[in-house]
Amino acid sequence: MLPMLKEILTQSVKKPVTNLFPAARLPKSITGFLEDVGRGKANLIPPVETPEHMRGKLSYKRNICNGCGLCMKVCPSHAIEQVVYPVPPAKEGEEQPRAQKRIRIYVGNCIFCGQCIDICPKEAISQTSEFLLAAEDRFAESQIIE
Amino acid sequence: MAGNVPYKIPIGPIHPALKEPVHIELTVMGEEVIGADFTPGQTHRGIEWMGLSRNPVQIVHLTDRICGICGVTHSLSFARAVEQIAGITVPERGDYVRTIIAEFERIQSHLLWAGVAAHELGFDSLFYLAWRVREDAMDAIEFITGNRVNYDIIQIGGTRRDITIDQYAKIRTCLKTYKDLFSKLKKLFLEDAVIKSRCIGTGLLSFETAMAYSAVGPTSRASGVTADLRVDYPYCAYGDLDIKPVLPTAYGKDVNGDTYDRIVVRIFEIAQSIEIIETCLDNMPAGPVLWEEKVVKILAACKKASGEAVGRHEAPRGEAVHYVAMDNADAPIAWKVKASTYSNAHVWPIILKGAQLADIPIIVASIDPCMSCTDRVAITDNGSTKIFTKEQLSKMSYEKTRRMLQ
Ligand code: SF4
Ligand code: SF4
Repeated sequence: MLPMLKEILTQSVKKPVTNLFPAARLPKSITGFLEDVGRGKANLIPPVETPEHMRGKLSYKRNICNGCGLCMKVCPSHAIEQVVYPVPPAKEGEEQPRAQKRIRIYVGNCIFCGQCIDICPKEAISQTSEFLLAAEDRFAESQIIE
Repeated sequence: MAGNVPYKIPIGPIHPALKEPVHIELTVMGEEVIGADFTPGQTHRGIEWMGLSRNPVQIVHLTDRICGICGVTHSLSFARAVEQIAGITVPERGDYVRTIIAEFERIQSHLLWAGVAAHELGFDSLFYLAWRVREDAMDAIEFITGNRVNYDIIQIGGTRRDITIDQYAKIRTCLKTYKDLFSKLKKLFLEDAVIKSRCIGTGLLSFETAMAYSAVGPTSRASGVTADLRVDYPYCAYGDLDIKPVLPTAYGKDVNGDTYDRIVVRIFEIAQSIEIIETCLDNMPAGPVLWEEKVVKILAACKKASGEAVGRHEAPRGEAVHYVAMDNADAPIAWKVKASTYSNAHVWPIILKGAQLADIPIIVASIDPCMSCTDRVAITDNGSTKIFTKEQLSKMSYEKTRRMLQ
């Protein structure tokens, strides 16, 4: 008995479930294709929609962060480092403000666990659903959050 | 192959037919395998070593990356070990969420395996079908945890996310899809003439051998061993459930211990998992899912803890064990992982003996091996592999200290 035969026949008339991202056919040049998309000459087939609360790239609000460094303590992949922003010397008679401690997140190291978000007392970090993060340079602008 | 000279065929460590690095050496006489041996340790990544410089809250997400399929197995086992040491009680609802995720994991893992098994038999249309229906479980997992593969939902003391009431409907729809699919899956995998002729009677593992070699999970149950951690030593929500280990008798057949029986057990375990998730959803207790909302307090509790414990979980492939020892410090002083494949792989030499060369892929796959989980230590010295005992290592360490002092 070959029960699969019936299944194959029914499947062959169904619409494929595969999402042909980013283009239905392999373009001659990927960069050329992307440029065309940018110019509005070609259409990109969008990726499959992400569900709500997907854990993607982080977003960080430096002005809320107080530099406590707790996020670094729970980051499993050591993706967060501390950055010290110097402050200009105080004018005479004024108290010298302390150097500002903030953080920098390396997207290439991050494993998107979201633990830093859980521990942050100031809610300075949040997670977006952005997931197309490939880059050639791990220190590219898109790969560093600060 | 000419004559009756036995030939030795090495396969691996890296080979197109192997999904993960492992070295298998076969002695063949003509088409028949007369001896087999294997060398694990080719996928060693030093995860345990990394853990020893991290705190338990960090490690719990490191454990998610031990295996790409068992996303919750290792984190759950590890968390259970740490919770015992630190005296942390998981709230009931947390236990239920853990159980639901663990069972979804079993569904997707067994479907993945079913696909791989079909592929190893050259039955690719069935492979595609199994992997397509697996997507529903992956989607449900992503919906609950926020990620398809690395769930990261376990925290020391519970889970990081709750399953909210408004999520129930979608999860139930997914379960219904699988329920409707079950009879089809059963028919496609268990009634197919090709699968039957290739799998019945191949890779025989007797009850006695399964016991003697301490096989675990579906591999042992297919040989008639009634062992399932969820039943024998209930944890999480399993104690509240009325479940029995699934044996090939579930399909109304005798226990044979062959590859076909391993398919039977896994297919019927999918049905069992669907039921477990349904029961859990129906009986979800109210309350928090985490022992302590503030991660800082979890960190403090772990730092204060000292002692040792073993955390276990019945993974889709069988029992996984984590040993953890802590001593009033951020990082544990010892962490050892034993995955189910470590127990199951030892039956390879037995079940491969007498097999035809062409049956090797399906027999090897039939235990559902996962080398990334298994490979914990490998010492290579100029190409020759040595295993050092703890005493030898200590001696070497002492000698080095002495040399440095001179
Ligand atoms: S999401 Fe996880 S890995 Fe990424 S920066 Fe935060 S704690 Fe580190
Ligand atoms: S935990 Fe929050 S407030 Fe503290 S350093 Fe990190 S981002 Fe800033």
